[in-house]
Amino acid sequence: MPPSQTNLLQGTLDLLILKTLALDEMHGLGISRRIEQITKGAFQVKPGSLFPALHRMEEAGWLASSWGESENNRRAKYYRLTRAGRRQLGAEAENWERISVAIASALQAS
Amino acid sequence: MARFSSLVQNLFRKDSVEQELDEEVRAYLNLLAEEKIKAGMSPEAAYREAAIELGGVEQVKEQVREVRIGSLLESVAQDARFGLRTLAKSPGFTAVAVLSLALGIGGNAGMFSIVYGVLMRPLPYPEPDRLVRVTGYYPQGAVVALEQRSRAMDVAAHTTDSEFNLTGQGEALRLLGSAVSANLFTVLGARTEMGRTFQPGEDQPGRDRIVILSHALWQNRFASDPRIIGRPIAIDGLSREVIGVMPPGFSFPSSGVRLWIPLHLDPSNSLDFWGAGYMPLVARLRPRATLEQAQNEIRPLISQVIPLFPFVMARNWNADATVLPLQQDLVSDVSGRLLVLLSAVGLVLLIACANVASLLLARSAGRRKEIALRASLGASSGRIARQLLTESVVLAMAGGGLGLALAYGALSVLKSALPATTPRLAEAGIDWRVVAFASALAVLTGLAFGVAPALSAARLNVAEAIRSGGRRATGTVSIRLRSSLIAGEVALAVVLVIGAGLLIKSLWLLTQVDPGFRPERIVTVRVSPSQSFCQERARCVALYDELLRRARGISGVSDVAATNVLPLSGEVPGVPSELEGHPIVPAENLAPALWTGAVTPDYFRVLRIPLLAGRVFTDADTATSSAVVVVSAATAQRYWPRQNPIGKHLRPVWDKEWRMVVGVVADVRQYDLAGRSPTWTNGTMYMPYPQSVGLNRQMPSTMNLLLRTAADPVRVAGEISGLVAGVNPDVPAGEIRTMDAVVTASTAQSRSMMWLFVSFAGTALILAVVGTYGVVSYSTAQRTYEMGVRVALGATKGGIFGLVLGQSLRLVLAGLALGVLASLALTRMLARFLYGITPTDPMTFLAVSGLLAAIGILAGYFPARRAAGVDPLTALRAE
Repeated sequence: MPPSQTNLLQGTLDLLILKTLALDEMHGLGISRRIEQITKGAFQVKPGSLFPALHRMEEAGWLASSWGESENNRRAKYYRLTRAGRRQLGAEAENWERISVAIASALQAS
Repeated sequence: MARFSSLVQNLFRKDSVEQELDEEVRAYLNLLAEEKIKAGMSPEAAYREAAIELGGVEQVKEQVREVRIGSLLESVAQDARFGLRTLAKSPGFTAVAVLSLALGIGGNAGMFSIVYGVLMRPLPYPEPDRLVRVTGYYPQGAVVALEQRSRAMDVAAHTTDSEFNLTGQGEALRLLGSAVSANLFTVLGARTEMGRTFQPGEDQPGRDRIVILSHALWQNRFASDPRIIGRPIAIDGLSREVIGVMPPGFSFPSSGVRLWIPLHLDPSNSLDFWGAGYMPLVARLRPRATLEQAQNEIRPLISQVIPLFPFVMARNWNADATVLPLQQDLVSDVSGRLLVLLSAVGLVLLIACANVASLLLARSAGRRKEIALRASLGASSGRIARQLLTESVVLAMAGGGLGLALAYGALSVLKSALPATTPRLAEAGIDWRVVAFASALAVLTGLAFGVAPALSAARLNVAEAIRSGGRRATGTVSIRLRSSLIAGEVALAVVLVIGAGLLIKSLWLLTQVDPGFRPERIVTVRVSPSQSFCQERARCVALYDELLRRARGISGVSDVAATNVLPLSGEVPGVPSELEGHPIVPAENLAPALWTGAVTPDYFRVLRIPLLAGRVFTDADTATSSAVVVVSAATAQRYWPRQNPIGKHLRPVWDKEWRMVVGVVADVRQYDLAGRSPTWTNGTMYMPYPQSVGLNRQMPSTMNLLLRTAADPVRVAGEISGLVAGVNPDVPAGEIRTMDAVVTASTAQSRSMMWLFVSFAGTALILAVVGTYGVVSYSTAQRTYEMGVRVALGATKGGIFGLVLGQSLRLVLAGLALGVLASLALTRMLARFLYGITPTDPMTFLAVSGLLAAIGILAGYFPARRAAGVDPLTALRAE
């Protein structure tokens, strides 16, 4: 995968994960299903991207994790937002809006 | 903080982190499968689908590990451990690689120590960059005048190669010393270990009966006497009070100087004050003065000094005086040689690196299967490249460590190989800079030669490699890269071998030179009564008469003579002279300086210097008989061409009396075998010893006895020194050596440079041969299958043999062509060290080409024979 695309996707993926966890703590599969749901299937997050992202964001201090029980009593690792994570969500969302507004106006201008 | 604790956690709780990661990914897999079962799949199908969707538990884990902090450190340590294990598994490869590097790094660290110690290490004085040399030689009067007038510098002066007799302390001792202006120590900023240095005015008559000792002299001759200060000692028969002892390591102007006395500045003796004992100047820039200011003022100052001479001095005297940093001046003679040698050893390191790189490359080609397996198990290509890189760094560190050990050995070898006269050589040592240099080299080369194999491995196509089994497939890129590495390294070796060849041939030509005399079976000994002893000429003449008479009596000695200077000993006894028919116009030109030998009558016979015309000296040429000289053929030819030189006259410029030429002898290479002489000498003359005079307008006191003998030189030497002590115990005798040794010593610099260069070139050649052999035999082993097919299809053994040999020969010839081209451009650097040949000597180039072609055949012979012996059945079945 060319790096430029990865970077774009990584930024987007981070935002989506933060957004998803803003409401409630969730385990890995839950997160990827929720992202599918809220993007109406546009994003399908593969474990190969998801787990590195989760661990990276945990290292960065945006997420915290703990072991818990899933709906059907399976052990699973749950992730939740930390305070820094919430701040990051605010910042990234704002950033994203600015970019999308900029791109939208650029498209209209032509 | 969170980052730090996670780093700590990652490093120290590796197992639990790993376990948690594993659990997490498996939990995900289970949840995924459950989802699918709920959707109606059978459990087996659900798990299979889930696994496919996940994309491999190990890959996911590896991807997570990649992003974790600390994973870098962790994987480096892991890589290093793994690297060590793999290296230990192929000891042959490791040994060759580590040894190649150790040779390269060891040689470089050793040579760098020397170059740093001699050329770059600051002088051991405060603010060493403010110390300068004013080129040229100046009499005492000029030194005083310059010191008074200069605004930019504090000017001091010192004699060079002065010798003094120390008596009254056990057997008489001849010591190297220096007479210095009283401000020399202040200018240098040198302090004593004990006592004080000279004070202003202590170079005036009456106050100058003092001396400063070196630490070594104080230790060895005065048993480190703590009450030495104030003690009178006898130097050249004159009592002087010891006022100071210098600390160990202080030795100015050259190593081996053991004592310092003040100059004897006596303006009332204007001939000595202005006409004798010309000295070099050393100066310190005054605060805020610059080198440019010093340079700008010096020539005008010198032209102001010229009218002060009590006789008419040439207008262009020292007109080219230049102010140089002192350090640059001290090492100017050796810097060229050392830098050439450093470049040579640098090439050896490059070759070692190319060698190891090609070895690693060949190996990584052979490890394709292993690498493909790691890739398929989830290692990213970056991770694999990093692992290979770490492996090369481990290799380089091992080579560097061993190299450093080698450098210690190399340093002492280099030190003994370089001429002992090399300034500052003795103090050169391995210090932290050299360790840093070697370590940097090790890491840099590790990275440099790790890059190629790592890149080639990272570009590997996993599926293709596994399918082909990783044995037959050798990427054309890597083959080509390896071949060019080998060709490049052969080319570098060719440059060095050609350089070595040129130096060998040059030295050989030099030793074939006829020096104009026959040095065989001659023992020499240096006898040095003090100058004050010879103040009374007759006493000195009688001393040598007696010594020669007794020396003739030593059994086995057939012939004896004495001379003030031995040919090829490096001394230059010049006397400014006026020759008949060549009047000196004082303001216009300097008097020609003639090399002046003071010899006894048998000198020419002992050294077998042929008489061409007239006569040589006899016992009838005494202090009172009419003054006569003998000149060399070239001198006669130069000053009296197509005339009969016999009966012509010449005289030292300060003499009234003319001396008559009574004989012409054949030319002798006095200064060096190459036939050069210092630019300021214009000819050679000989005077009978009783009539002789030196540059200081006095009779030479130090003489060398020459004894032609068929007997054992060691026994003769023993008898002669006892004999001198028997005649006069206050006269030191020393430096007993054969004339052959004197001749050999005169080529010491060329010889040491040749040996060092040859050893570097030899190392380079061995490395290149090992490299070529390695690549050819490795690629041949990899082509076993292909060879099997060829044989099965009807190729003859001879055909296969030729194929492999051709490969090796092509590599070497390509390198040879490249190397010859490079040499044509590079050997110019050696031109000033060569005698009798040009830097592009065709014979040398041809011989080296032949040698390299032979080596190419040799390197290919064994792999070729092995390939030709391949049994097609075995080869094909092995797949």
